[in-house]
Amino acid sequence: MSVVSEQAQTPLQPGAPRPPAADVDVTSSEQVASRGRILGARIMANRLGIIGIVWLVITVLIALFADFFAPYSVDHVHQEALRAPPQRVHIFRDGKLTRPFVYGYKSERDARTFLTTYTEDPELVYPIHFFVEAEPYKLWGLISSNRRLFGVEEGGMVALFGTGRLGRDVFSRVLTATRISLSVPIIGMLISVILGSTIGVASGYWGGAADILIQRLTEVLMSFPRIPLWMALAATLPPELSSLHRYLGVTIVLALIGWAGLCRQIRGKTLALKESDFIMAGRAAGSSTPTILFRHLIPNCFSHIVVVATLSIPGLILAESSLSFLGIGITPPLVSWGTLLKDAQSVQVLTKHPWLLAPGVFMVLTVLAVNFLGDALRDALDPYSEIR
Amino acid sequence: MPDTPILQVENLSKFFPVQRGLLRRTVGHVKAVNDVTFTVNKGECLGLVGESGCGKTTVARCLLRLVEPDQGRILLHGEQQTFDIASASRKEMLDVRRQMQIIFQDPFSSLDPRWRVTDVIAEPLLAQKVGRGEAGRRVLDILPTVGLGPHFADRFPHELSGGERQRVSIARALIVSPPLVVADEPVSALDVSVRSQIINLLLDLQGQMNLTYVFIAHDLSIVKHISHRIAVMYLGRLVELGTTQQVFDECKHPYTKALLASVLIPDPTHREQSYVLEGEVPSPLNPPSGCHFSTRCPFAQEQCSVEEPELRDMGGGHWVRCHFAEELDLSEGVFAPQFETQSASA
Amino acid sequence: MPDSQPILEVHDLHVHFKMLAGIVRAVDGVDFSVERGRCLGIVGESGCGKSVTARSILRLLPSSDTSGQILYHPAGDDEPIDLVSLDAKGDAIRAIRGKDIAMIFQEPMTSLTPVYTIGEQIMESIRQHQDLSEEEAKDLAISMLNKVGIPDAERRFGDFPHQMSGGMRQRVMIAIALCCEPRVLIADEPTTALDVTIQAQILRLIRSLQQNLDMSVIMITHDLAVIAQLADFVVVMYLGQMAEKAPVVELFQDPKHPYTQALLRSIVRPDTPPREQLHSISGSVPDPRNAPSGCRFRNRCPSVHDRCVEDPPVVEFGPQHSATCWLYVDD
Repeated sequence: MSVVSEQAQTPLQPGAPRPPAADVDVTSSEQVASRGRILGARIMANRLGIIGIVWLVITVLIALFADFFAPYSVDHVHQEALRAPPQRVHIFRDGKLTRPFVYGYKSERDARTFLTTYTEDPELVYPIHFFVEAEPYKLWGLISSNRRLFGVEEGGMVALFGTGRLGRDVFSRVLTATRISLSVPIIGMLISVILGSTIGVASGYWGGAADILIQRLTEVLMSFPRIPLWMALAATLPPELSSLHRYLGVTIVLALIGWAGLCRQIRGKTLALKESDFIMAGRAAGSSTPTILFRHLIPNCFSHIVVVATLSIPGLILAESSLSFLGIGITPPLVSWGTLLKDAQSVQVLTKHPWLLAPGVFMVLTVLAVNFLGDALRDALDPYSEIR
Repeated sequence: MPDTPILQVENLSKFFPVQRGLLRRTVGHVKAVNDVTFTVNKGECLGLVGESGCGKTTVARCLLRLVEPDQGRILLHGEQQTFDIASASRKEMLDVRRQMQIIFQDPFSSLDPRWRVTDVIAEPLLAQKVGRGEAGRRVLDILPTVGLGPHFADRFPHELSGGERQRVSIARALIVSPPLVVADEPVSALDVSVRSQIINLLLDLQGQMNLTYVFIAHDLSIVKHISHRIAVMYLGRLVELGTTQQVFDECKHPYTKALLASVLIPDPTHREQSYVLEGEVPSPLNPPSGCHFSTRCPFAQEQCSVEEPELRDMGGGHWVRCHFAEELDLSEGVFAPQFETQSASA
Repeated sequence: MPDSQPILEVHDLHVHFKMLAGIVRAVDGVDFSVERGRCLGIVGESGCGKSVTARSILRLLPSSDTSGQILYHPAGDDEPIDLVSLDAKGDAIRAIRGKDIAMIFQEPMTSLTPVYTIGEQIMESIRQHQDLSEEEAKDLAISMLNKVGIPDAERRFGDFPHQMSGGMRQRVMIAIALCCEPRVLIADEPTTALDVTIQAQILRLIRSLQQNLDMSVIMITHDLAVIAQLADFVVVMYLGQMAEKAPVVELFQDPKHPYTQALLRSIVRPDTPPREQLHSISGSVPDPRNAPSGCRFRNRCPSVHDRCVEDPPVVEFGPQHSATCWLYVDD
């Protein structure tokens, strides 16, 4: 018997103190990272997910404080500048660094086409001031204020995204429209989650004839082409409805169609979980059906619901915009990205007034961001994915 | 021990409908459990063995009413009254669950990943309307019994190893002090070095708490080690029932013998595997006519594929379902003795 | 065995994975060689690195950090090829995979494509490595199905995987693995998902194929009985470390490593007195991410000693028997 090779990767250190063997009781449980931390780390490791989260945080803040961020109210009209292009923000004047300012417009009318073109007028300088007193507003209908993040002095104007057909500031309108364009999908999603998961869990857990009926119903609902169905339902909203009621109506219409897909997903998950050992164990323990449903089944569906719900939001954003674009969704005085895009219906817009597409850019970025977040959540919650 | 029955299963059957098509029309039945009768005596361990699809897990689930039996009676002789589990009301079932609990096979899927250990173990108590404070105290009392420290109470299942989880599963079953425990393959999902710990624990607990076990497994050497009596199932039918010695040393059914012969012996000096059962287990949807084993049985006669044999008492509580149980000599010939005593290496 | 010549030699293999939770040293210093026509068993519990070792031979773990040598001796007197040095996605390893070294897995259902018939899958595998016409490939496929004991092979050729039982699917996997007459077959827990009677059939099949085709087999399992029945030479692994390696009879009769000893004592044998307490190993296998330093078995070892916190030496007990343990080194 002889020592042939030292398998040691690190050379033995004869002088090094040897810890007593007794304190090496490493059990499997001590150092395993907790579920939440792993989840967080997995989301943080997903770069697109982070981008999505950052953008969504920004848009939600914009939506919440749109009145404050926007220099003008939705209906503020700049009669002297119709369809004016975006102003550039300058910080150098005569080669010297100054506070940010914009130039006013110099308008010229083309004698042949009668089109007005706007150029910067170096004579008109409007310095941008922060936390200015401007048009008063009521934040969330509660807090009266007249402070806005930025603005120019009385008589000047600032239009970072240009102005629209009636001379309204596109920037302010896009920010304000964020409210509707985010809240309709989110509220619609919540309603469809409540409907979809209740019906899905019930259908999956109890099965039987009701299950067959519900599944056929969702199949029918899902096999209709989406846009005509939305249009048909939205058309049932009476035209004399107030703008606010119409807003609620559109939300409910979207939710009524959106729940079907979610319901099928949740039913599938319920079917799988129903046969799982821990539900069996719960029944063997004698737990009542409400305990099984509300303490075992639904909490274990929850991560699945979150992912499906998140990934359903882009569809709802687009749906609301489509309806509003077609004029059967949100109606003035409320604005959404879709209603704003109504101004951008012609080819002329693309060639001459591309800034009117700004709401579309916001919409695309938001849809992408939600998709990124949804994918990141799904990957993070998938026990089989290991992000290295 | 005096043979006082604690559980009597009489003519238990469970047929799962096979449904096809849009309207889920029933096109046939899987006879998962077909006319099974056996008795479990107080204080014993009854082993239930068979290959996958033989219905042993369905029997376990019927015993707990986790699936609804189609036919038969399951009589549980409780301390005060006797229940027929097959027809018990919801309220009676709550009493039954105080008398009988189950340990599941897979310790990774049988614990709700979102529950803490203390909540998992307390679940049967809470179902029995025991208060939360009292339940928490009883959980702390039972943890050392299954070899877990009190610090485990606040852990989540994913922080535990397989063996620790199975201990939690055992604690959950024992928290209501049931006299009868059904163990559905309790060690087959565990690491080899942990298996013996859990078997030892189950044996210990049986002595300490005077438990009765129905022990379901496919690993015959473990069943042999832990069981007093053994029931062998094949395609939903009970084919042989007897004491461990009767089944292992004097088995009378060719299937039992084939099962025993398939057991691999952990000894490299005994490699002669003289008999390997040919063929596959037929589909339980459409089992062979007559004796279900006739398609694979080396002794099958014409009669076997026509007439289904009855489960017959061979004396001494040894029941066999074979036409030729008396005549067949299974001790030698095609079947080499596999479980003879050998000098195991140390 | 004087005429034995190695076909595969693994020297000081390390396979590490970078995970969010840290580096997992899945395999840490494994040495063994597989001889022609013989069966090497690798036995161990979950997390011991046996499957990772097998997969790294075929370079199926491209995202891992692999070091060491895996020398494959091709047919003829060619120079041995170091598989570790090959590009895991390159042509060189692809030519060896399936043709020279084939592998079968635990769950045959997940290794077969559900949308093709088993015949198509076998033929695809044949034609990937051999220049045969469709008819020739089909004939070969059917003869392979016959060889692995699938009754009525011609009819079952057109079956889809879901139409077959687990045992039959495993036979199909073996047929696919064998169709190019590999010189080494790696079997990763091939019978764990199967019933006992089917397990016996499959093991008998593997053994007879090994003998008839003069094929080397690497049998990976957690089941000591499978090892006892099939292997000629055994490597015992624990948490990525090689605890012991020995010829099979020597290992079962005279185990040296405390882990091997405890494992062999803890299993139920035919002569174990019924209902007596079994020997058991305390504790449970730690998570590989939290493996103890030095000897990884030390926190469960009955013979643990202060010096076990340092990496243990390899002690030889004979030409082929060695254990990685401090127990046999005098202070």
